[in-house]
Amino acid sequence: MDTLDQLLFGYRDGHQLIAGSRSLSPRQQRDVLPHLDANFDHADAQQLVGIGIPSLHAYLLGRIWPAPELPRPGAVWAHALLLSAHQLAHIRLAGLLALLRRPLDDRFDYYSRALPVPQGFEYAPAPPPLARALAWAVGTADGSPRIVLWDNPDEAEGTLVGLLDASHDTDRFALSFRTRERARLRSPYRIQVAAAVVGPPGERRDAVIDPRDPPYESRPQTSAA
Amino acid sequence: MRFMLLGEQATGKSSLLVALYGALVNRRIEDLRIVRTIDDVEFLSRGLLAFGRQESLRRTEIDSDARLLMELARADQLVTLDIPDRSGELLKHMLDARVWDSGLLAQIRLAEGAMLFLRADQLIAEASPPPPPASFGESGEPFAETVAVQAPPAPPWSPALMPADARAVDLLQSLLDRRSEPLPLAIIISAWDSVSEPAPSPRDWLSESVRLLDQYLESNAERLPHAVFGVSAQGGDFSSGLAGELIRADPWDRAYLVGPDGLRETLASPILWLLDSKT
Repeated sequence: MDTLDQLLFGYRDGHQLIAGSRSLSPRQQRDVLPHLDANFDHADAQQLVGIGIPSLHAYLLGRIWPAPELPRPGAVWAHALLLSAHQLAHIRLAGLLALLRRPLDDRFDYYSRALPVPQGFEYAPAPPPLARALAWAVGTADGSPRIVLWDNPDEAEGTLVGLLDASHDTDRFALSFRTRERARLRSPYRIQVAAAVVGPPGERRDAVIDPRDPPYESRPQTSAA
Repeated sequence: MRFMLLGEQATGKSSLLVALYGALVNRRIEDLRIVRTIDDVEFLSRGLLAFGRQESLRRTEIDSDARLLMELARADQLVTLDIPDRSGELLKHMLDARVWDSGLLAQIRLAEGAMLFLRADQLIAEASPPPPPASFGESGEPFAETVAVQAPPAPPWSPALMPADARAVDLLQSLLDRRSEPLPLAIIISAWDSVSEPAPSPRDWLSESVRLLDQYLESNAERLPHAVFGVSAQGGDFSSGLAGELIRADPWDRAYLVGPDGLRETLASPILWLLDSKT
């Protein structure tokens, strides 16, 4: 049976690996950490992240949640699946979202063993304007980062993984994305879906796409937090 | 002027920036005036709101690119202050892994000064003697009949087990390996309100309570010219409640700083000391 490695990060004297089906070297942990940490404005928000991690030889698909029950303000939980190159190319990825679980207490058994690859691949598609904008952003020939503005970034989750599923095998590792409340103009992700954009005034904002205002060709945007 | 904040998680780096920003905006510092803010200061404004609610700041996430970037007027001189607020966990993982983070490394090479943050209450707790083993009576004598209990194996040594002062020295040694020029260093002892009264001067407190670091600094004074400050950015411990008169005070009036000699100074004193160290 094919299985997936998983990692759980949380706050214990710093944001760090709490449980996992495999160990990480300090260097690997350092490479993974920025993708599995977040700053939330709302306690009910979540973020989805997908990115290839060369030092792990794996594609990371993870979700991050606020952890207001932990003593340090701003603490988060992050649960990630690690897909090998073979898995990234051959399994239906959309079904993986159902495996991402926020811890509900301090029992972490679920996170300490490799998970069987799910057979189902149901997912919630994004509203059509958002789905069209995401497909356009993924398909842009220059490959430069794009920010898609959407009030509820969670609605992009299924379509982002669907687009990863639909990408050519050789392109998947390079297709990175993140949903978040506020996108940053300087970011390692190919696609960010966010309700707002932050960054120093005057920085180029022509990579920002408003799904409600097609066509999406680059033009100055005024949206800012 | 680029100054660097060095400190592990929860050592008060963001808290000092927020309190300093509040003091500058509200004209509590005679020597410095904000001319303009250059980068996004939302995280500082949010921080002031949190302090106003008597809540500690949220931790800084690992990939944060927040910074205090503003132009200040000091007498007839204009100074651009650039202080990135990087996550302390980044430094912790770097010390644990013994691998420099590329962003921090670039900062170290470019910085014209740095602030090293240590938490007074953490250092006090580390210096306290551990409780006697459970198999010993209050007098320290072993019980006549004790049940043999297998002690859990000690975890293998790692840099993460080092006390805070040894980790600070480890950091400074690594820093000097990567930088040939002197680096002016403001030592910030945060949570200064947790130091028992009558509090010694921050300089004396460092030499008494953080001896390894103090000796290292003294023996490297040419490459690491330094001054020691005590800071209470919150004005007290929110979890145990503030003293009566502080509850009604604004966050920038609650915060206070004690200079190297033990005298009250403004929250900008470490910045001013670093600026003067470069002239």
